[in-house]
Amino acid sequence: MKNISHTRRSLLRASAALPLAWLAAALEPVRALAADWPIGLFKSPSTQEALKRLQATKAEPGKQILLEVPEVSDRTDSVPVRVMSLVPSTEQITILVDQALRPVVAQFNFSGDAVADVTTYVKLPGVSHVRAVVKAGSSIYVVAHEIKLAQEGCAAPLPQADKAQSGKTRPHHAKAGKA
Amino acid sequence: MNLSLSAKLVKEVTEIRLAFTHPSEDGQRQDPKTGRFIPYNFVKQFQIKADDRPLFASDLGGGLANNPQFLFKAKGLKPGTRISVDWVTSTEVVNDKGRKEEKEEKGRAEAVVQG
Repeated sequence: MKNISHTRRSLLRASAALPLAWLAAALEPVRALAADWPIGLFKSPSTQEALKRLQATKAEPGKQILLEVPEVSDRTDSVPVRVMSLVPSTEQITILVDQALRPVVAQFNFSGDAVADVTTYVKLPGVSHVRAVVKAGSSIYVVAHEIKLAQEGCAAPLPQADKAQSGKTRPHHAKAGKA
Repeated sequence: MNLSLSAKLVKEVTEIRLAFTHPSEDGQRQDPKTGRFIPYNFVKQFQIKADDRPLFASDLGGGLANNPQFLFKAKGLKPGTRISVDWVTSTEVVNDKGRKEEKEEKGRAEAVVQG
């Protein structure tokens, strides 16, 4: 942000006499609306590039993060995604759909009384991994889950032996326990 | 473009729900009939404040579902707290000179926390 240090300095001067709680809230950067939309991040054509931009290539698996998505979905136009972070001082959650042409879908920044628990709905390009990148101070965590599509739930590759027996039809065997 | 906003205190957590009535096109989708790319048109950003104190600043892309919806949570916002949402949408338009450019629309919605 261009003017952030100026804003912080003038806020510090102005709020010297105010109670501590108000001071803490006033130090949160107030962004100019529409400024700083992270265009490079949203235009990243791959999850790998997006993770680099998020400085999340060496992120730890998020143990205190709940990423709630359906295991199987029967629709691709609107799928619920919830990310809840129990990591103290979580500042930011970014949601990605790995297989989308542009994986980054949303980025949420939290301040003041906000709780790091957000739910929204995403589009799926097909079977996808939905990924959450959580930033808390200098720590970054990543969690991802796969969402399968309902029609594909029963498909399984034919065992090798069947390929030799052309002309015979065999039913697909649903592989239980993999979902 | 319409934004329906509600805020309700449930036990000790204030639930803030946003429901935009707006397409979510990222500009990558082709019209199946014409083969042309559908211009981008999506909710790009919004900021939510409680009594003018910043709570959430969100940046969004066209990968969200159409008519984007969100559920946010905040601690300790009492009934009567004023919730405001300043939003921006982004659309690709063709200007007078025939060039593509971005057109932004901005607006604001307000609600009061219900107990």
